[in-house]
Amino acid sequence: MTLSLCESDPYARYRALGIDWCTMMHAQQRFDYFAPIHAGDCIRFQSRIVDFIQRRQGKLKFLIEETDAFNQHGELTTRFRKTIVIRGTGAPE
Amino acid sequence: MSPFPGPVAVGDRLPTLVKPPLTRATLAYFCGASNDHNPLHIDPDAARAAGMDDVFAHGMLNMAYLGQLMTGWVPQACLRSFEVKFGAIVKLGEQLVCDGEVTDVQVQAASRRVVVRLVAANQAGEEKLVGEAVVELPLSGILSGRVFPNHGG
Repeated sequence: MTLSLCESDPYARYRALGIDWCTMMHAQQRFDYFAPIHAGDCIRFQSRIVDFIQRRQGKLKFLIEETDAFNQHGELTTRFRKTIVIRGTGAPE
Repeated sequence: MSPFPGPVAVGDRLPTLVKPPLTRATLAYFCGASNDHNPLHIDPDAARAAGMDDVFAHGMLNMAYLGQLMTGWVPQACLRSFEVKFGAIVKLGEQLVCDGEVTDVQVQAASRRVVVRLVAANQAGEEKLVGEAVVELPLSGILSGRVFPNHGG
């Protein structure tokens, strides 16, 4: 279960950053599980961009995003860490 | 739910999981299941415009197959972490062969912490994903208690 499952347009936040979805590739994904999620739980997600790295004069960009999932008791149940590679034109950000 | 495996040692291999050849239908279903409607995975025109030969699998679909390998081996609640690198795209007609090997076993006070190296390759043996999962198992192979000390389940 990820935040993107619940959003009507999970790519909207990337568009807002000027990233075209056809240039994005999922490079790496990690899940850390701290507590199970049960049917009936109410989960709150909180995402943040933790790093943005440019290589080859901006032709390759790496966006690292972390999302925490909390249950209705405020417990951290899961942490998601996603690395996206963006193939660019070399235009500076 | 999978039963707990019995004794676990470094070098043990998980039972191989072989998935059927990738079809366009699976990709269409996974768009709905994942809410990832990126056209690269369903629209051949969009894929070609982006320089690809055709549509290809969502990374998370491939990762889900490695997840199936893990949860076919241990109960899901034993998983502590699960990580993959997506090394190469999985194309239509390719078949993912998912394998895992135990690389570390640490006996702790009340549990065993087991590290599994994961590989998903196509039918020709070309690696697509590599990763690692960490599971926490009871000390004995017998299910005796809760797998999360502070939580039900």
